[in-house]
Amino acid sequence: MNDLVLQTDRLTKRYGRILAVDRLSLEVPRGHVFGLLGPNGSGKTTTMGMLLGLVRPTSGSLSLLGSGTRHAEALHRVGAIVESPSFYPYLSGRANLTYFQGISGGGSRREVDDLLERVGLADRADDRFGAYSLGMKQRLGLAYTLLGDPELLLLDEPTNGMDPAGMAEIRDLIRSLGTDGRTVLLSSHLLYEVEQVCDSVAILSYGKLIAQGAVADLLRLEEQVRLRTSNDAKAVEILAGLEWVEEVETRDDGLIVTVAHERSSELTASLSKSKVYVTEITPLQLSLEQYFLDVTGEKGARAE
Amino acid sequence: MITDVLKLTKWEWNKLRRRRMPWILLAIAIVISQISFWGGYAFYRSGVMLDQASFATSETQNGQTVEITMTCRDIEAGTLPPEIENLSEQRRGQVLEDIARFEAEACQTPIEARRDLREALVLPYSIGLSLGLVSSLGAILVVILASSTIGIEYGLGTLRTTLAKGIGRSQFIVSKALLLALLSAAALLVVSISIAISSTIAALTLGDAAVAADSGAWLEVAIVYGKTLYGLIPYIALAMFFAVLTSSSGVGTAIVLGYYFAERIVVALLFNFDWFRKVADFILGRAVDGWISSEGGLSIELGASAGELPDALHGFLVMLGYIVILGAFTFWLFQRRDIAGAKGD
Repeated sequence: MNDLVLQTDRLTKRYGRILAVDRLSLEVPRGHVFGLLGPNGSGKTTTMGMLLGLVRPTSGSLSLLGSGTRHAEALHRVGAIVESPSFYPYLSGRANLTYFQGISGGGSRREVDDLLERVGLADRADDRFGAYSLGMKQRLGLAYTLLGDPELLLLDEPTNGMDPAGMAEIRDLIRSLGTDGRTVLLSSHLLYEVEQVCDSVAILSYGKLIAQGAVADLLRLEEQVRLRTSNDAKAVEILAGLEWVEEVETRDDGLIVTVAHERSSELTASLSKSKVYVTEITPLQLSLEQYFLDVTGEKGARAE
Repeated sequence: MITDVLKLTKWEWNKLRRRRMPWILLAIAIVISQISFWGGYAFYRSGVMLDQASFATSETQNGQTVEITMTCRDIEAGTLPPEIENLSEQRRGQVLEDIARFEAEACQTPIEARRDLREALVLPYSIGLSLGLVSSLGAILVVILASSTIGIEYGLGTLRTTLAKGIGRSQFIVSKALLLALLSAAALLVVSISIAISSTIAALTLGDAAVAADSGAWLEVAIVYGKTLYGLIPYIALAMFFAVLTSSSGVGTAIVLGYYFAERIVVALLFNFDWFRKVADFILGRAVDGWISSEGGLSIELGASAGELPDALHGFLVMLGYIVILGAFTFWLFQRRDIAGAKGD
């Protein structure tokens, strides 16, 4: 259990009749880039807020960096930005970083300069935050999270409002942060972003955790294969009768069969028993987007 | 904990000093105190208070009518109208008696008041007088500063950014309160220094010594300073409470200033009712006025409270009650509340 940097146990937040987060149990291992994926209103930001002590859980427990009850102490080793980055508009980017560096334990001027350089804000560091574009604000937010070289980063929609080049740059940076021993919890509604950056993912819908695991494993849970056979019409008939085949779709280029990953090898045998021969079988990579739509569509019922 | 609070307070000041608002409020306090000082100076120089009562008599001497007029200004200057020399010895004696009566009945009070005013324009009394005069204004300014200092963190969403760095909520709110108290003390000091400079200049033009010889007066002024500062603390507590309750600078300021003025109107309207008099001394404004106006030699009639004000000890205890209760509620509320994102206020 020591390699878990973040753990929640049936974490729940209720606002009156609205259940924002419903018995969420998460485990985030050290050194991973972990994605918290879900559509708007799925409870990602509320979860982040609870992790940071900004929102009081209605019930359940959480542990940050093995903190147990010493949550406030653990926060000194966490860098986080929740929702859009909020800084003082009358201070420059550099002065904002210096202020937050000062109140959270201090550090050198060099650290601030390096971070501004790292997020690509060195040239505009002395401009007032109020004059920054949304993308620049996001960059400053990222620099803020890295103050004090934290062990755990909680990033809520960090590429929001950035141009495509900036998004790619920040994704690379997040990816690199995950490889040098830090743990990153990335909350996003952008499937592409999570798929590209994260090792593991938890999918939330209406406050409920509906899937959690390594991205590669989740995508392997269901597999689609394209089949070309000696008799497609008969093959459809046979496959539709197999209870472990989820779906069969006829396309111009063959049959698209959705089947559990571990049983895809049985397709050929089942068809050959009925004298239908497979001339070509090609595994199709399921995208996280397809997976996400599948699981939220089937399992994302509102808790109330 | 104390070290952390002091460190955070230092950084809070480092941040706050870059805003225009505290400097504007300080400038307002200085300007108003200077206006009140130089207004008093001009009033003294004009001597209009000595012209409000006059003595006039008409005498017939050698078939001619002699008009004799005097004001308290002439009495203070010790000059008699030259026409009096034309009167017979007997009539002159009668007129001088009338003038002496006029002096006793009509001039003693304005002459003494003018003498007091002259004394109040000299250091250190000038500082005490100005602090007393700006205490009501100070309460308004401190409400604006306190509401803004807390409310802006909600409005900009920087409260989240700060607390997410592991800053404890109690540490945060205590450092804000400490900063506001220190800033109030510093602002009163700056106002005092500005008055001291003006007072020195005024003394030169009046031909007085720049500083009164009475060394005990400095102690009195120090007491006035402390009392004025303590009189601001309940308003800081009130403003912080409403800023946290409403999570807003603007709404918090409006509520507290609304209360500040409404309280005075209500007191003035209801003070004639016996039942109200029983509770009136527990109203914050009257407690503060009672506390501040009991300044001995430097007493000031604030004119904002009806009837007899509560005594200083009562005022002190009522204010302490407000500070403790509002402080506790603010602390409790701030600890319990979820912190939302930027509100844009």
